[in-house]
Amino acid sequence: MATTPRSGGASGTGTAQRPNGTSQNKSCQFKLVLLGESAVGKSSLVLRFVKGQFHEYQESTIGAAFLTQTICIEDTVVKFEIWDTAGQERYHSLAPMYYRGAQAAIVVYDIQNQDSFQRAKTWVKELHKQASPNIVIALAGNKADLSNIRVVEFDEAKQYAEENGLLFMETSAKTGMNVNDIFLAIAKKLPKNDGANNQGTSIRPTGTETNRPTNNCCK
Amino acid sequence: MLDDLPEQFDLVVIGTGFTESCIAAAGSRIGKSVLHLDSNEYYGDVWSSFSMDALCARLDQEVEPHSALRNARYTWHSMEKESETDAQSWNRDSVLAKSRRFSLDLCPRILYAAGELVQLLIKSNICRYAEFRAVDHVCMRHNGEIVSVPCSRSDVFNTKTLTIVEKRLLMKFLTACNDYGEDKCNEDSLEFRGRTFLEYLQAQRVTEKISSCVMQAIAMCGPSTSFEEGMQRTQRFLGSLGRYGNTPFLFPMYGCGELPQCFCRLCAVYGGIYCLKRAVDDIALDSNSNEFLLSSAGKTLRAKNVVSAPGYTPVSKGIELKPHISRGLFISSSPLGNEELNKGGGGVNLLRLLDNEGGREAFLIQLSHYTGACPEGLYIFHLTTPALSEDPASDLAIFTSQLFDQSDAQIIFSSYFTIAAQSSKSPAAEHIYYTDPPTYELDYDAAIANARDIFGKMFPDADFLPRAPDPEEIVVDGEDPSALNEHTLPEDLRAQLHDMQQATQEMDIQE
Repeated sequence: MATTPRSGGASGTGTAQRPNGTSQNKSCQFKLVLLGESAVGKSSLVLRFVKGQFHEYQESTIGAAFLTQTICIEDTVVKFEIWDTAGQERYHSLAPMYYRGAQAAIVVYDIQNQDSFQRAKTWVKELHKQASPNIVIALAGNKADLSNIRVVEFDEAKQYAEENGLLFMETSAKTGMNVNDIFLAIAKKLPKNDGANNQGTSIRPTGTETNRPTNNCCK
Repeated sequence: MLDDLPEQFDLVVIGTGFTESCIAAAGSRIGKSVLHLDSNEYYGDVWSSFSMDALCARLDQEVEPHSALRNARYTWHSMEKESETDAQSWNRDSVLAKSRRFSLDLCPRILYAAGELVQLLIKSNICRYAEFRAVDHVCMRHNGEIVSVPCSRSDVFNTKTLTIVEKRLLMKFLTACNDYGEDKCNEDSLEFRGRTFLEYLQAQRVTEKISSCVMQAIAMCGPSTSFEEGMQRTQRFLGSLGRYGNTPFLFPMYGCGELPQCFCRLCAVYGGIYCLKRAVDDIALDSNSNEFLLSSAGKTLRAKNVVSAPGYTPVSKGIELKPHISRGLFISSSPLGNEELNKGGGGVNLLRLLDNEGGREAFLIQLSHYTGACPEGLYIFHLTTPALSEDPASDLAIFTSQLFDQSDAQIIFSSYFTIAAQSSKSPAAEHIYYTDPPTYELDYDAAIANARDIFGKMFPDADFLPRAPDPEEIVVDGEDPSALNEHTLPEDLRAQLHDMQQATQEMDIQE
């Protein structure tokens, strides 16, 4: 065969289908989507997690909106493919393909903003209806560094999360508080079985023949 | 809520169908400010996929003079005998209960693995948003039965449909097609210039069965198709082989409605603004500034360019529509064809149908749950033919009888509708670029050509969807820890840095 289709999405996990197959650790790739109202700090959370950075005046997401980060849990390498909303949520026009096939979601709200918490609840409902049934959802109360002017109480959010089977943490992209932890908690909860089932395998066309070898290269 | 919408745009696109989404993405990608609107609450217009509930609601929707979707009706069929042995017996209620597991396309397509769209997705790096399922079988009707057409070399050798002599003939023929064009002086092919592909095929003394394979499924042509065109189509088929799966074709996971959304996402990633459920009430050209003034929800927006899908007010006022594509959409609890074609719970199969004279054609796409477009145990049959009349069911009757009369397919739901196209350009809407409605084609070649054309007229020298960088290649401010972080600098130093950067840029230009 001329190509090595990447296994992905719907089948959940896939031990990387690489021709050289030297890796001994199990490796899984997951699609993780961020949801939440504008300006609650979705991009900042990812930027903190992926690059360890924080910008007080982070511009609305342009050009990126798709980052990857790898973490190791025991003998498993977990690669997160993190999707940002690219601002489409702003006028309530997020495309459903965005959360299609996602295995994990972080629903973010701002602890200083009651509306953003209500909006987060709406997103959780939407995910329960539209996303795959096994999706792991985490609720993140962001801007926890400003807890002295909070309006959403910790206990209220925690109770809501428990009732709906969500992971829950208050985070701060500014100080880094709980940022890595929330991704780690999600990684732990995701199923990491070798579920690569050929019949269910989907294809993502990548590259042309000329650059295909580099795509398949271990990074 | 919408009041903080900016008021000035380089490009406003009305409608989120495939072609419009391509144009919006291409504009945004080269740095134009783009506003993308749709009066519907969903993406894709007539290129969209629907859940079961939503499809019925869409088909029930009242037809206005400019509606592109018309003549719609649907029927639920009750099973004559409900077998108790089946693990699941399907009926209207059990299908509707799984409504959200369906992605039912108004305009289903199949992609050539090396075709225009796949190349565009790869070139622009939009491919990372899309997932596909390889089509399992390309089929043909032979003596009233649906059989698989061998595609790859190994298929040809393993197939039980052909005799050994036929296998050799087919391989020889396909190799000749593949090499065609490399040797311009080839006498064999010179002789057939200006004649039909069928004549060429007959001159190769192939058997009737091979002739059907080639005409029906590989070259996908009719008796009057020219030799050159037939060759080109055969080469297109062969050129897409061996890339993914067993056939040269792909189908998008969760339906074709995902594709416009992939382009929209790229547009948004580059700063495009999205507003669904937002209609434009009026458009006027301001002759002073040469800009369009769009009034929408009590607000006036200014745009240098406007692109609109047909069927959207106000630009569609006064446009006459004529039937263009006749569609049938069926849901069944059993697949078409034998076990071989539907291994492991059902194949994603493509079948091109011809009427007895070979003058009319339709294509059938069978989808199983592997495409994510329906629940396990159910199958979708999409039937598409160029429209002859305002009655899609009668346009398709000859093909449905070929398919269903002698099969034991258990149809639970059947629906018919027409996709209409404008028969004349609107006189009122000069300078506004219209996209074409979906044409009758297997892949998206015409739609992409249409998008490219409109984009080229608006931005003559710009590249159409150049490659978007991978996340690893994007350098976020202050990436390099040794570099100065611009945001931490005091105001006056920041201004200095800015001046210096500008000076350097100017130096470069002078050189």
